[in-house]
Order: sequence, then structure tokens, then C-alpha cells
Amino acid sequence: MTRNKNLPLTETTYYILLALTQPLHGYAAIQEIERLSQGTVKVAAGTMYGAIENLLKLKWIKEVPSSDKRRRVYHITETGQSILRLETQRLRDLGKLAEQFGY
Amino acid sequence: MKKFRVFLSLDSEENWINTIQEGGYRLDWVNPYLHCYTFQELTADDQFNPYTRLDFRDKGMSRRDYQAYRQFFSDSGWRLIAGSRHGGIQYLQQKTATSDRDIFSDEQSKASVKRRFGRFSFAYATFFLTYVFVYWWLTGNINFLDIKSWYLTPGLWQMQGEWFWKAVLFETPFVLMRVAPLCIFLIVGIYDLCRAIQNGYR
Repeated sequence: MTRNKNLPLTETTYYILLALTQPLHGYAAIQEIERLSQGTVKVAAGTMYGAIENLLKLKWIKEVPSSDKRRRVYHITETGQSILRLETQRLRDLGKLAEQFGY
Repeated sequence: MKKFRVFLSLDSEENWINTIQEGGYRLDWVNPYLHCYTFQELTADDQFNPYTRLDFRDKGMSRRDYQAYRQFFSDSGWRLIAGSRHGGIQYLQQKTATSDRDIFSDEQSKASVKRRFGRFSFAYATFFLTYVFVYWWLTGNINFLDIKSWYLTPGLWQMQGEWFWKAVLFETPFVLMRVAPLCIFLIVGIYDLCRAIQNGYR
């Protein structure tokens, strides 16, 4: 079985995709990730900016119109969702495997 | 306080700025062409010594994109104090003592900033050095070290006395116009090449 060449995702990418399952602007996504991870993952601004640029290029997320003229709002695309599904399945399989070893 | 300094890497520039800031200053403005850094002494109103961090943009941005870039960093606790939407180094300074201390939180994004910087420097080095080389190759009569060869007027160096000095004075502005850009291009080209080698240009 061949694996999608974009997998595995980095932890930052995985969290960004999860956060952007709802439309958010950049800083709101940083805060959402911090909340989702219970304060363990704090993505710094420059890292977030580069990651969003990269995800836009991959077309995993897209810009959506918003009433806020000063901030750009992003949302996950269909492609992004299928990547998220694939990666989640991979992580689930890993978890199951570890369970068989008693972990 | 104004200081002039030239750096080969973003890291060394950032460290130098932050060392000065720790001595009770705040970076106020940067002229990227003259490499001139303006620092302000901290006053009683400033409640903390800020950190300044450098981002590097290799592509130009639209006005709206740059506005969004600035707004995003501002939301995250960083003020853009110098930088251009046409690309280059962006100087970001902590707005409050509680802002993050860094603008990059993983190795991957740190490496990609360095790569952008190296690649950008390499492109500029190629442009400047090619220009100087093609110019030198097409004219063939400029020797950078031989000042006499900079003057193209026939018979200039055989003239005598007053006429000679008048002719030299008259010609010098033209010579400078011809040679100065070339020298600047050569120096900037070599500087960019050193930056590219220092940061990896692939």
C-alpha cells in the first residue's frame, strides 16, 4: 500500500487543519490551537504565517470572504479535509498497533 | 543613537540588535540601503526591554496583503518597525512584555527563513555580478585598479599644465557617473554573494 506523499503531517500542520475546520483569521487560529491542545502547543506568529502560506499553496485551505477588511479569514478545503482524514486514520492505526503491545 | 553595521546572516543581525536593546535601548528604525540602525534610549514610560525579531520576505506583496501581514503580527503582539512590502527583512518588535519571545516556534520555519534569505541574496548577487562582468567585457578598457583608464578622453594624459587640470576637472564628473555605479554594483554583488554562501543558496 502506498501512502500519500504529504503524510505524515507535522504536529503544527495537523493542529492548523483541525482549527480551520471553522473559518478563522490567523491569530484566532493560534489561540484556538492553544485551547485545543490545552496550552501545550503555542504556534509563534512567523511560523503560523509561513504555514498558512504553504497550506494555501497546497490548496488545503482557502481564503474566505469576511466583513473584517484588515484580516484574512481561512477555511479548510475538500482536499484539506481528505488529508486530515488520511492522517487521522494513520494516527489511529498507530494507536491500535501500540495497544497490541500493551501501551 | 545611529549605528552603521553590515551583517551576513539574519541571526547575527538579530543578536546584535537585541544585545544593544538589553543595554536600555529600543530599535526605532532601520534604513536597509545604508545599513543604518536608529536606537532610542528607553524612558520611564517604557516598562520593558523589547526583543526585536527578523522575518524575511522574498516576494513582494500587494498593499492589502502587507496590511494583513502587519495586522496578523500586531494581533500576535509584534509591531512592524521597519520593512517594505516589496520584500526584504521585516523588523518586528514585541509590543508588550507578555508577547511571545520568538516569532518562530519550530526548526522547519527557522530553516525556511534562512533558505529564502540565501536564495534571494544569490539572485541579487548573480544580477549585480553579471552586470559588472558584461559591462567590463563589452567595453574592455576599464581596469578597476588603474584610475587613468577610467578617463576615455583621447590624449588627456599628454596635456600640459593648466589645460590638463581643467580637462581633468571637466571629465571627472562623467568618469564618476560611469564608474561609481559599477563599483557599487561590484561591492553589493560581492556582499550578496557572501550572504548567499553563508546562508546556503539552494
